[in-house]
Amino acid sequence: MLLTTTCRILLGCTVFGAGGMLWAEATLPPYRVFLTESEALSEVEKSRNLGVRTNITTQRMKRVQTQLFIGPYYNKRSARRHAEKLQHQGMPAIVTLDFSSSQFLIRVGVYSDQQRLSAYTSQLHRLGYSNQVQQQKSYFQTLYVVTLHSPKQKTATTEIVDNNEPSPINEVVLASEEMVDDTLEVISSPTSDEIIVTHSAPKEEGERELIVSSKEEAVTLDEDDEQIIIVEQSADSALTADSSHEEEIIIESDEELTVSSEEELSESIIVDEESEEIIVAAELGPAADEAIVVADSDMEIVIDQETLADLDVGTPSAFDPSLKLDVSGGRLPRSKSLSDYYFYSLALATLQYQWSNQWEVKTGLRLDASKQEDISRSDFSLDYAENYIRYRTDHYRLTLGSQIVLWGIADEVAPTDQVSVQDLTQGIVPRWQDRHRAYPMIRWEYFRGDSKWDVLWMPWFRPAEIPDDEHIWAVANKARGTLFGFAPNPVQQVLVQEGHIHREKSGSGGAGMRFSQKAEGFDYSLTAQRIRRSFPYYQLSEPVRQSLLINPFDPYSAIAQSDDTWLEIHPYTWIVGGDLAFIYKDITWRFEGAYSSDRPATEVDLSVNNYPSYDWVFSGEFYPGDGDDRLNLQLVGSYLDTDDKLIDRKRLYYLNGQYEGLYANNRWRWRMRFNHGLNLHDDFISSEIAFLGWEPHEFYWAAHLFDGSPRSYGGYYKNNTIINFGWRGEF
Amino acid sequence: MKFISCLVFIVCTGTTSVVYGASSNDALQLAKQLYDRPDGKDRASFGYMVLTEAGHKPRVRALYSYGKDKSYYDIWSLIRFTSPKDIEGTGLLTRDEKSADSQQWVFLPALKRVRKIASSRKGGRFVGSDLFYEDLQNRIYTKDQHKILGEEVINKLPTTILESIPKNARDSVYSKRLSWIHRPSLTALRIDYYQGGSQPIKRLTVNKLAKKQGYWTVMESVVKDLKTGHSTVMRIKHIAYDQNLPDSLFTTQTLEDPAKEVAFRPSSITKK
Repeated sequence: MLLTTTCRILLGCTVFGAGGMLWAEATLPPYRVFLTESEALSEVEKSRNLGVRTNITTQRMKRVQTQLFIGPYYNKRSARRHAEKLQHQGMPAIVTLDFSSSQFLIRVGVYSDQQRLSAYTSQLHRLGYSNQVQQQKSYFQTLYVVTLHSPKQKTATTEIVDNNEPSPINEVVLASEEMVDDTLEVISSPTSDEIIVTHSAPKEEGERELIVSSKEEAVTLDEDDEQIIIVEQSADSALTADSSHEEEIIIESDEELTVSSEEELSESIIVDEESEEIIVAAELGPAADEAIVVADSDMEIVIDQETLADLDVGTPSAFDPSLKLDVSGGRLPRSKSLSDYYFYSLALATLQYQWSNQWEVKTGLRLDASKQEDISRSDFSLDYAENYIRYRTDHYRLTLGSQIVLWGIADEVAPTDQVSVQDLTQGIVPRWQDRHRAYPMIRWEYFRGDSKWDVLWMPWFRPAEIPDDEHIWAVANKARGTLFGFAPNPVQQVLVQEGHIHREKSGSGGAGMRFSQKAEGFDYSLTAQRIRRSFPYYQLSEPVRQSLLINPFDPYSAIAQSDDTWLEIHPYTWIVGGDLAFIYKDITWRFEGAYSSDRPATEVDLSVNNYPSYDWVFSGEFYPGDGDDRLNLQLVGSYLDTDDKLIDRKRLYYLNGQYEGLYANNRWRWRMRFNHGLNLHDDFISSEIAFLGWEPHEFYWAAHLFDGSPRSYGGYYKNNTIINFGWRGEF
Repeated sequence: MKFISCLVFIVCTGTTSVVYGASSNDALQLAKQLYDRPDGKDRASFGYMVLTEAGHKPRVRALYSYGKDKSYYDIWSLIRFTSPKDIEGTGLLTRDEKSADSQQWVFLPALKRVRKIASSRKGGRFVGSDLFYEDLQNRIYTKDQHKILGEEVINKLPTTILESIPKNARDSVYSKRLSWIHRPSLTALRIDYYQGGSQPIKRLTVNKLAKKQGYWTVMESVVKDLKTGHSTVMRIKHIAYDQNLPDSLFTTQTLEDPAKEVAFRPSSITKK
């Protein structure tokens, strides 16, 4: 049948090949096929002048073609001017953006014919573009099919696709929506660049069918002759595609592809973004007859000339390596600083591999290096980061290995966040989320909808990561003889400088459980933990304490009483708490509180006891002016519930917060953090200005200022006020 | 229906539209028609945004986007960034609901926490692009007054110009939007955004439109800040409609565990 039809139509076909233009004509030609869009448009114009309605469809097939460019141009206006000049010369010039260089190029056509390419290249040389001509090969060919008839019209409603839920408001009728129900089948033969197009749907009266085949009875495309023979089964056939399914068809491989209306077959469609199907000159004007009618049978519309070149942005793979680097150097301007200069660098490498939807593994390592002027040596420390294996199902997730888990919702001081390991090697200069180390644990998470149970067990206790005793950020600073949280005095100074600190690292870290729920309008969580805090508390060993009680002004004798002057302790404590978050007046309000059964504190007789305590944070986060700035303000309180006389502070109240603003189209960022003591002079202000314009690099300038009473955090690090310059990047 | 899932989609159809016919009733009906635009029961896409500015290196953000129509008004969406590295894994879960204010959560990998955030935010720039948060929201057509200003040909495609002015000025960061609606595809080929004054501050232009699984899909568009010249190109690389995305995809569980969404990523569906 195909042969018969082909022969019948061949009799009525006249094939023309002139220059680079390829088009086929039947006795009553329903199509024109072109290799360039400008020629197709010209044909549209010509047909309309004759009163024939037209539309354009496209087909692509595998074929080597060469794109001709000139450029680059730094200025789009300049590129446009040159493009117009070339258009006046009869050249198909359009402006495109070359992403890799951020510059503009003028594309002077796409050529599969070497002679035409040479001709245009020569012409460009003659026009003085010798040094700018570039050629790029690609492997697709676009055919522009001008259909010389009006597509069938149908009336459609909003339920064009019936799997969309109908509007409950009312029904609206669309006027004259074009719907074509036929199925288009395309078969490609890569060896001869031929295509077969057939209709599988029943033909209606007046409807046509186009067959293009690699066999001699169908349409053939001969690269050498640049001719297409279109074989029609009837005089008024139409090249149509199923309007309810994929309409972009690319035949690009050596295998045959069949595109049909069957949904399960749609997977074989390979979408390529590079090809431009219909390019229409950028014009704006009143509605006129020249407007192109876009039918449903049109497969793809490329509207703007200045479309972006396709980028190599791939989807993420199962392997996800990552490297985070941070290098900074700073000056400590205070005259009492232990060091005038301080340098720090961090390299954190991780590799995550998800080999199935259930299994995932992550491994990571970090290297910290620091150097301060007064210490001749440099400090290097190698540490494990997150190293775990994870198994998940629809409802639970089990993770074994070292992890960083941050419970709670408040920043900087989250009362229920006691299951993470603090990293104090840089004081509080890094942001809160960067001040944690991985903790070996077993974690089981159970999910049900928006609720979650989270259970942790830390079989091996890991204390907070603290710097060496001579480090400027030391918690027990031997150089100064100071201890964090205590006002310095001469006896303590000797005890710290001359004494020995016993570090407690053994035992289990405890366990914890947290239930969280995302409810209607608010989120909340409840937690219960039996854990050991990572941050140490310093206690005098009993022989030393007894000695000091007898002779409080002879620290040397006291030190001699024991090998260990100080004990770093991490007592077990129960923690029961919760948090709540809700939105009110465009502000995210957060409240978090916790009761702790055993918080160590030192009495006036230097003995250490555990007391119940309460910690809470109330915060509001909002975007001033509904812009790019974010501000989070927190009111923080802590209360030791005892009537005993303590050396420690019983009540602490703070106002702290973070501000982040983005400027100059997010190329600059200003971050600020502050902490202000409300019942004791205690101030910390950190301000960082970063240039983000060269991703993934960040260059920053930061100033961290400390001030306050000697018992306060700001006072303890007062002489560590530092001005930093640095670079960080993530790859 | 609504179009929360695909960023390009949202912006191009996030304004309501009208077709030929001059009465305000026609305008409203056609505004509704655009709101009801066929886009499947659910959709998943992978694409990227390119932030460009003269004299500066372009910046690229790649992301997955999922959307599901739970009912006529209730629309759930999930956006997951895959690059650059510093925002990789960041997720944004939004549940637009008629009965209550929209709910929104963000997952920040660095914080390892899911945080509830105010969905009423409209004016901030979305990851440094030229899109405001309002542009990502499902704006129902009844929030605006519509008027047809005429017809015009854009790039040789016939369009109807629709003026949309918020009924409540505080309800939108824009004082007015002019949309050039291409009727056959029910897509705004161009949108001019105003913030007071007679000149637009921002312009969206559709570059590429294609039918995917029977749904007209904006495959590429550009939003340009007309004051600074900064622009954002949005391009979809893969898209899949009507996969029957489960409700569990739009939970905070999936938000904090990107691995849960892998099975629904469109590249694995559209590519063989």
